[in-house]
Amino acid sequence: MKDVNVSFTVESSNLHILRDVSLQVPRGSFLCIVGESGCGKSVTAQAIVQLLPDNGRVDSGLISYYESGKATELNKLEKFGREMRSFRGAKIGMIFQDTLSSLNPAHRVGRQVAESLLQHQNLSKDEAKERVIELFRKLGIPDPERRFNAYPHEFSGGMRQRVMIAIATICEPDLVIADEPTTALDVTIQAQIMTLLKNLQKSAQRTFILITHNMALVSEVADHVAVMYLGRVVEYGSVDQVLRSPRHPYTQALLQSVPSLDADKSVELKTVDGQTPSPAEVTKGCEFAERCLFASDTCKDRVIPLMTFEGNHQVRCIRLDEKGNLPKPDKAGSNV
Amino acid sequence: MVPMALAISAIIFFASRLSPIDPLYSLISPDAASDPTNLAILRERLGFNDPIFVQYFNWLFEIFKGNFGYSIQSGQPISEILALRMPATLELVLAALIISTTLSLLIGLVAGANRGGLTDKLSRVLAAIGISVPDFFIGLALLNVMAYRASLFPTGQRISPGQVTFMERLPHLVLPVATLSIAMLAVLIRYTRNSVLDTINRDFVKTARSKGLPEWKVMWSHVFRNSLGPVMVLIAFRLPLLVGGAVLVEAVFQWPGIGKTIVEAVTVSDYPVIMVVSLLIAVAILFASFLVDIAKSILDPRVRLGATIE
Amino acid sequence: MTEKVPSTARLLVRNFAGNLTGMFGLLVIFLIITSAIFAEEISGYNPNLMDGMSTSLSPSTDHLMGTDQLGRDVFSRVLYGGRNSILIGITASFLGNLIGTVLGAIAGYLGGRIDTVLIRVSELFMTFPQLVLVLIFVTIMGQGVSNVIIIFAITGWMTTLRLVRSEFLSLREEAFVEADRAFGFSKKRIIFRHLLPNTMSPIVVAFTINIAIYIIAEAGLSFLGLGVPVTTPTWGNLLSAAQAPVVVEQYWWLWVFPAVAIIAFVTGVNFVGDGLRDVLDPRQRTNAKNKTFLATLREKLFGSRKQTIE
Repeated sequence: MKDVNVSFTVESSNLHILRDVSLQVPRGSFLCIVGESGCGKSVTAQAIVQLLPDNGRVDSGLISYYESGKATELNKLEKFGREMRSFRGAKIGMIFQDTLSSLNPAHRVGRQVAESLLQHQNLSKDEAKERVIELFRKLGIPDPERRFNAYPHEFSGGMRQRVMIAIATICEPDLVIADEPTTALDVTIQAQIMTLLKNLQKSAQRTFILITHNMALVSEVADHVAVMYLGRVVEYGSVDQVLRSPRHPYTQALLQSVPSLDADKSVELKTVDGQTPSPAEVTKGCEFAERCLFASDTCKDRVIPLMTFEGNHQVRCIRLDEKGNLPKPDKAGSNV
Repeated sequence: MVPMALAISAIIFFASRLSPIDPLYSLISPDAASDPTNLAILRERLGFNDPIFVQYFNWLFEIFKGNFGYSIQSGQPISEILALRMPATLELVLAALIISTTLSLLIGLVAGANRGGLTDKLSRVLAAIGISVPDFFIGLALLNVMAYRASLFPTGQRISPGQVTFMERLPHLVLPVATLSIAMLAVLIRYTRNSVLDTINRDFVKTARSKGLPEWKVMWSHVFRNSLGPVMVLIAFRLPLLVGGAVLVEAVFQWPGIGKTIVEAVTVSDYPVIMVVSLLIAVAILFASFLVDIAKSILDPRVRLGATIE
Repeated sequence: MTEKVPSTARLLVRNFAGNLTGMFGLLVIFLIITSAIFAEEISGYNPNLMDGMSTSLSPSTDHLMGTDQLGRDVFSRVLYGGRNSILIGITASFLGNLIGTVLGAIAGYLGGRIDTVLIRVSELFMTFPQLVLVLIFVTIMGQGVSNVIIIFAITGWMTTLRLVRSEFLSLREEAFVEADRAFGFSKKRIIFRHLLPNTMSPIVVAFTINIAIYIIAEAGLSFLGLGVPVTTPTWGNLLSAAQAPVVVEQYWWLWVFPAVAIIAFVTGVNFVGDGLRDVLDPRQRTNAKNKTFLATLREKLFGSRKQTIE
């Protein structure tokens, strides 16, 4: 993705949701996009497959898909045209968050998975059914032959998510985008699903984009991390770089606010001061400046460029020196 | 439901007993009534000297046995009247139901899918007009224009002299069915369209699209299938019309159906007829509720019983 | 210096004034009502005066809407008829709303058995074909203006009941009711002073829309000759002339004008109702499917007003 801008029209006014988002996802790697709710991570995923809601559109920028040396500009394709649709499902699979509402309650589960297969490959219904059952088995759905004919509401949350994963991967796509797949599940199931996803990625050298707001998950599976705030990518790097040596003030604050088992329990949880502004507010400079401990006046004035440090660690902050370190904080640290 | 249905018939029954017309004549054939000596005996035998509740249950019992009583106005057995008039109403209402349901589903689907498009706007206009224009006016207008001026269709009644087969009778059906269909369409379209719009925004449609399915398949297989629910309920509850008759349309076109029967009965306070017809309508409503339950379980698998898979 | 915040009532009025369809509807209603009130001044003819010399005249400068078979001026009859029809519509709607509100409040607040009974009853009344239900009551109670009003009220309270009941059900759980109860306010006080004012807006909208429904219902009823007797002209009464085929064919002015009057008034009322709904219930306002055709048309032609989000 390069310099992609997405806006939504809500009640006859334009909300600028994604601002100059640029991302590069190497084949076979695992990227996690993290950020708070509303920062635009889901929109990024939707934009890639052109599944933005009716009132959204890509204003500018380029989304390119590379395969065997050829680049296809995804956002230039017709939204429901044949070419775009040949990507969806076959080359790019999607996993959604709310499994109960994302599955058609009136169709049997097996049919919903096979539907994707039958759309893209020339198989008979029986062949498709076999493949689906096999995939169910591989994904850990017990009694797959019977479950093929079950309805979505007959499954538990974790099982349903496996069905969704089946739908996303049945055609063996090269890219899988998972939008908060475990947020609605409880912790033990979360771990199972995450392991499953990581295995899926590793075993077939697939490219994975995981969208989440849960930093803990990121550390388990990611190769690279992109941190988003209010529609912009504010930091990007390998998982080591971002998690162990975060450079952007927002990332630092985010990481500090994650409760960990071995934290000092006598110290209060750190949170970020202030509230996330709404995307309707147009800011000239850095969106985070209001809440940033290191903000200077220039921060609010100009568009902040993405600065690259060693090892392709990209940070959108002008307060960093050449070595990528932040100055002493201007405002007093907050502990509330 | 059942007690309510009985309640309505009970109310009418009691009300009929309050009217000055001697209800005896409703239960016996005109022949028997012509002989005065019989009357006292009959009165006793038919339980007219019993308390009113007993009389009511007697009446119900008779209905179950198939004895619907006699019309006070014409002396005809009510069952005969019904047998005569029912087919006409069934014809009319069934045809209109089928036409308006199919059309409204299709139009609703297209309108909902192409939000803001021509079909959408047209359907909204139609719906808006539909609630403002009395349906019988459409009938009158159609009559005037099509039948009288253009002489395209017969000007009323169900049959012209000499017609025997259904195909011959068909021209008579056209205008009344058209009127009733338009009236029903106006109401139904709003529901189907809203239902489609509601469904289109649901998450599983996004999933369907993410599979790369063509739009028509998404619309038909996913959206349409799931928007049928509320519409079915609506249609099921129109079924009582099959019995109640489209009173106004029948009046405009002089259509000899149940509706006309009701009007005639009300005009002369022919209680027996009214009571029987209202009971039938109540039964039809009960039946319709059953149908709704069955339809719901077919359409929505969640309603059926099932175990959770862990 | 702070700006004075206008009161809620002022805001509502201002918002409504900006609602094109609503204002249009209001204009239409206003025109019709004024002409109905000042019927004598406007028409110049006595609606009941039969002029044997000028029977069945088609519209002319003398008689704007022609005369009927008895030589009565149709225009004045339409105006007078409007008076009665509108009166019936408003009174019946008011009465029906009253009943529905009271019952709905009881059902919504008290819940339990009473609620179930009321809901069941309303269900039955709603599924019964409205006209047939009305006819049944006409048989029992007889015709006439006041009877018609009462009958309409008895058969039309259901929607208001549902509205009020659902509002009460949701409001009941709100925090301020808990606070009230903690304060020990009597049930009656809670219902009337606190809950009811919040449900006013849907009631008002329902009131408006019901007027339209009742006017059409009266039209149908009187068309059959079973509503208001012909001695008191109403729009429906005038339409009953169209029961005779010759009228439908040749004397179109006898029924077209009353019908147009009905359509115009009802459309006006519906527009006002839609406008009220837009203004009073902001949740529904942004929902495109509730926008009337004209509102969408206006937006397309003139562009939408820019709104800023603070």
